[in-house]
Amino acid sequence: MIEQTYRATLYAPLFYSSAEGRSIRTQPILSATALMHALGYRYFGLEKRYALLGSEATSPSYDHLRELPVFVTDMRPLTVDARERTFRSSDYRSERHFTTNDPEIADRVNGKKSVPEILEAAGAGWQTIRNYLGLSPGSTFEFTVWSEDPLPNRPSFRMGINQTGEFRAEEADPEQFILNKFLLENAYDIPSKLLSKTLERSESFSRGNDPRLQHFVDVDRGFVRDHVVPEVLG
Amino acid sequence: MTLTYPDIGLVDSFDIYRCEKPSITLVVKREITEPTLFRNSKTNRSETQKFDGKLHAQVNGEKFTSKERLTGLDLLRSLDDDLVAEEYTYNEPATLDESLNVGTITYGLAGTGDQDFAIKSRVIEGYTYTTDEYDLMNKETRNAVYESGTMRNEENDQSEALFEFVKVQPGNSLVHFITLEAGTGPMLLYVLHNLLNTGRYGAKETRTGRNVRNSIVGLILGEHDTSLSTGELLMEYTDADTETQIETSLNAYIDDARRSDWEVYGDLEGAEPFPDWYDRLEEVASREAADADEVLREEFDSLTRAAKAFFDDDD
Repeated sequence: MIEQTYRATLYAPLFYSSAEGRSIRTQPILSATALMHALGYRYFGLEKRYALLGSEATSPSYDHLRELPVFVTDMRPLTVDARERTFRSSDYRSERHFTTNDPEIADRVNGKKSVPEILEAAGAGWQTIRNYLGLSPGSTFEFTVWSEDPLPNRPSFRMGINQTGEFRAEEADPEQFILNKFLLENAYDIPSKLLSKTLERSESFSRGNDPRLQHFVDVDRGFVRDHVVPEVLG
Repeated sequence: MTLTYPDIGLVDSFDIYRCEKPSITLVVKREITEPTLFRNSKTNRSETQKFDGKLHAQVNGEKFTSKERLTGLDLLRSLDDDLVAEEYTYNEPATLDESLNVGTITYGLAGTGDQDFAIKSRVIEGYTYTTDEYDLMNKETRNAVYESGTMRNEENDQSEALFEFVKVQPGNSLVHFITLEAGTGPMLLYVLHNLLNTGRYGAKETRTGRNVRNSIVGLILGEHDTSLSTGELLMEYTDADTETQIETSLNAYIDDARRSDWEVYGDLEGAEPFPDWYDRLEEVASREAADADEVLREEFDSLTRAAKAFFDDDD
């Protein structure tokens, strides 16, 4: 089993729906579930499904990650600018556009004020306009990979909404591990006793507003190697 | 004469489950030929990004993809009535069946109507940036004119509707890496067609006309995505102080990122010249070949049939 830590640099704006709503904000800790997909597709032969039908298209599934011969930590932010300028997306039903110069309406679209009910129910695409706040190019992160086969010296991969986050990583010495609770609990069925122990051996616990954004922060490295990794990849 | 497709970089037939993802990256130079307005959160100018102390206009790749997709859709509709369902309208899909066409299986689509489905895009067009400086001081001021053609009306009142744009000026250009992942030959032909036949991008393009000229300067075929990034090119391989030529930076970048399984063609250092199969492909895609429409129709028809057969079987 190879354990290798990497320092990754982001070369294009990265957006994730870490916080949903009309304003979509990207949190600086990037989840291991996303990283495992990115590395899995690129380096470990993870099957990509180019079309999904019915409930598969709307419900996320993480079971396939368990089959991968690789496990990763969350991406720990080193130098991250989380104020990347926004872009707006709208559900462009047909080729209609919506723009406004009215600051009152703009505030509502930005999520600073509530949207009147009549607009929520409007048929036009504009109620789905959302503002995205992402991470800037030049931001850096650290993550650790456990796998049977090594990654290349300078692995590159893409992540985030529309795969805009372009990364290249280089080998580095590990500093701290951040583990993703959702991945451990839901994809790997880690026993709750081990999760409690992991919490005890962590410096802190970071909560997000989504179950997938719960992180064990700065977990004791020896504990991860001796107890968590064998349980996951064992 | 039919087309020949390369042995690597493409898949043999249409399917939706893939463990291997061979890819072809097109290195595209987008030259600005008329002042062009790219805007996102700012209505009067581009997003910007500073690399090495120099300000570049930043453009979301979707600003290019959406225009290219429409060029493709126009082509499909003009070639044959059967290539696009009559009920289908761009980005307004009701069912998978009516939405299946070369455009959607290549560039992806999410069902927002009566049926839940999602087709992943096989075309990855990342963020890109102007290779030269984006000059924020270079504002164009406009104002509304009256019917008289002047800024004053019959009562001699001055028009007050002043507004300013900061456009990307001619002479500037953008390098864009466009990757087709796990695509078939006809998908490559389609993406090439859309790139070579789209020339109007950005805001107000319906009034300002053609403003961008695309050309393919390189072609990289491999077993995996190249993950080449314009941001990395500008951040790591150009130096604002020495005014490095972008071509020099591009050569150094591709040379550095190059993997042993890559085949590199084009006007790049260390690359092979474009092969015959590509010359023919570009001739057809740009519709310069006499039999272009015939070949395009044939290729797209076979891909559409393969996709329909796949989903019919899946039911």
